[in-house]
This record gives sequence, C-alpha cells and structure tokens, in this order.
Amino acid sequence: MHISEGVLSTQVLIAGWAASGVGVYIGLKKLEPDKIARTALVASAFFLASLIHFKLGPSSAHLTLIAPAGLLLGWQVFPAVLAALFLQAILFNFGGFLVLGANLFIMAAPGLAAYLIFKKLIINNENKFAVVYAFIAGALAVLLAALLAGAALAMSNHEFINIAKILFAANLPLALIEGIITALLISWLKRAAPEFLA
Amino acid sequence: MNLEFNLSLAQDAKILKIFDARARVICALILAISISRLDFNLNNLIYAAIVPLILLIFAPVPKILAHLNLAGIFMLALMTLSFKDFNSGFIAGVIMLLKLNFISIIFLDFIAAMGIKKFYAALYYLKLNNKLRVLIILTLRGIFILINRFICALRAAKLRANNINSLKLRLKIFACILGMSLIKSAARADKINTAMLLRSGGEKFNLQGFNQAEILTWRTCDSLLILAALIYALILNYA
Repeated sequence: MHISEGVLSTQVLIAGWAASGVGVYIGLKKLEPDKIARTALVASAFFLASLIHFKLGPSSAHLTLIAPAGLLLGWQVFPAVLAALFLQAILFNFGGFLVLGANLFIMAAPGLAAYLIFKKLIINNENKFAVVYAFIAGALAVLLAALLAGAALAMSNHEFINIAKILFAANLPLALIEGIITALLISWLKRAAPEFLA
Repeated sequence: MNLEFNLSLAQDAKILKIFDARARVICALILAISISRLDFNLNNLIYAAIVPLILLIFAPVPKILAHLNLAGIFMLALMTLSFKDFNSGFIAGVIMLLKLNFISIIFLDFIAAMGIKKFYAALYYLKLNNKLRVLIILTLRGIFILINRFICALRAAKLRANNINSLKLRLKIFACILGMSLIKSAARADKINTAMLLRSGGEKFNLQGFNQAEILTWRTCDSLLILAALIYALILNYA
C-alpha cells in the first residue's frame, strides 16, 4: 500500500502531511508518557508481523494489519504508524520521507476508523458477534486504505484513475485475508487476554 | 510463512560525514521538495539529475536502488498501459521513475546513510516532539527485541507442522503468533515502564533518560551547504 516517491503531486503531498499532522498531534496529546513503551512495542510487533510473507498459490503476500493496530491503539495509531513507516524508510527504504505524510494517512486513518466504529461493538458483544465485527473491521480497513491510496493517485494526475482502480481490485483478496486475521486475532485476545482490548 | 528482515543501510559518504546531521536533514528536504515540485517535463529533470549523479559518484547505493526500481518499473508499466495515450503514459512513467531515483538517492545519502544514532541526535536538536522521538527510538528497540521471538515462533510452527496446505490453518497460526507477541510485548513494556519510573526517582514519570543524544555542532560549512541547496532549488524551480 506504499506509494513511492515522485508519484504524488506537491499539493497531495502537502495535504497528506497536513491531515496526518492533525492525527499525529491528537494521538500524541492522548498518549500518556507511561503508555509510550506499550505503544512502541505494540507498533514493533505489528511492524514485524507485517513483514511475514504468506504463500498464496503461486505468489505471496504480506499483511498490513491496519485494523488490529487501530483497534488496539486508538488515536495513538497515528504516531505508532508514523514511527513504523519512518523506520521502514530508514531501515528498508520502503516508501520514502517526502511521501511519508500521505502514506501515514492512507495507513492510519482506516485504523482509526476501525477503532471509532468497531471497538465498542467488539468489546460489548459476545465472542461470536465480536468476531464478525472484527472481520468487517479488518476487511473494510484494507479497502478504505486502497480507496485512499487510489484517491491520492487520482488527485495527483487524473490519468492515474485506471491505476487506482487496479490498486483497489488487487486489494480485494488481501481485504478478505486481513478480515480473517483480524477476526482470529480478536477471538484469540477475547479468550486469552480480554484486558488487552479494554 | 517467512519473515523477511533484510536491513539495507546505505554507506555514509566521506564527503557528507563532515556536515552536521541537522544540516543534512534540512538540505535533503530542500532538494527533495524542489525535485518533487518539478512539472512533468524532461528538460527540468536533466538539471535535477546533477546533484543525485554527484552523490552517486561519492556514495554508491546500487543494491538499494535496484530494489526501489523494481517497484518503479512496475508503476511505469502500469502507467504506460493505463494512460489514454500510450506515448504520454510512457513519458510520464519515465519521468516518475527518474523522480523516484533522484529523491531516493538524496534521502538515502543524506539521511538514511547517517545511521540511526546521528539521526536521533538530529531529531533531538531539531526539537521534534519528545514523545514522538521516544516512541520512534523505543519502536526501533522493540523491533530488535521482538525479531528473535518472531523467528523462534515461526521456526516452532514449522517444526510442529511443516507442510500445512490449509490457508485457514496458516492464518490461525499467524493470529496465534501475533496474539502471543502482543501479550509478551505488553509484559515487556511494563518492565520498561518500571525501569523508566525508577530512573526518574519513582515519583513522576518523565522522559529525561532519553535526552542523551550525541552532541552536534553547527559550523560555517553547514550553513553553506543549506545555502547551496537553497540556491540550487531556486534555480531548478524558477530559472
């Protein structure tokens, strides 16, 4: 879901930084100093988990885990994803620094949406229903991220609309897998460590 | 399931080592923004190539660039095939590929190559938000703490059942590994919290323990570097 350097227009890059800036500001305001270590370690766990490649038929895929990160971190998903993307840019040279704002918004906003819409539904419902909500949250977060990435491309150059459509279609199977993973993870956490979701 | 963790740090060029980390960050941003602002025009990009080409002579980054260009070439193919006019799609794709390379070379040589220690110092002296700075450094630390745990968990899963063909089962194993890692991370975070509290006297939680960045000194050559970058950016965008 990373957009490379040199693709987006200056206006979109600025808009990306502005929107992400607001998210990071609120996230840092809500982040208590004694929760920094926990947020950092959860962010690094998601960072590493997203590097695991799955064999899917002849090809392989790696997950984004946007929804679980959002559900567990809430508003702190913005600074956490910023730290992760920033380290990805330095350690692995994925994405880039200039496009970091846009990439951050594409990855963190769906996570936040999952938190705002589904967190209470997942906590307040029985395991069976919570799993269904978690599946929807996981799948929708990926589709929303693909939609945002497509919108960023289309706003940079109207000729990118076809690429945006391809990007969205390519993410449909990934959305299904992310939904299943989110559902399994939430079900596991509800049984093994319910305090983690509280 | 495989975990790919290949660090691809660029080598720091001798010519750039003399500059202050802050100057390098600011200079990289000025140059990258000026290249990113350029229109889809091939003439402009020839002038934009000057700095990245000079950087390539002093600090070669071929392996990393090859990796980046794989994604760039895929995008070029998509643009060529999806634009209404084949030629305009190809030209726009080539310009995008050039921009990707130029900006990446600048960031790799100016920022990524200086290493995390110097970069942390630059963030400290550039007055980046305290919480965000600590979050970045703890996330990095967490990655190196958890990487072995993830590798062990994947190895254990493989030893127990090497040939799992069912996708559902593979996803279940993955969710289990992730869940366990999250719980162990939380336990580890609590220990870090306690350590941080003890360092600050145990009364008030503060982040003083993270204010030990490498000392940076700003010299005339750093100011000249930024001035040169500004002049280059102005010529590139307005001349």
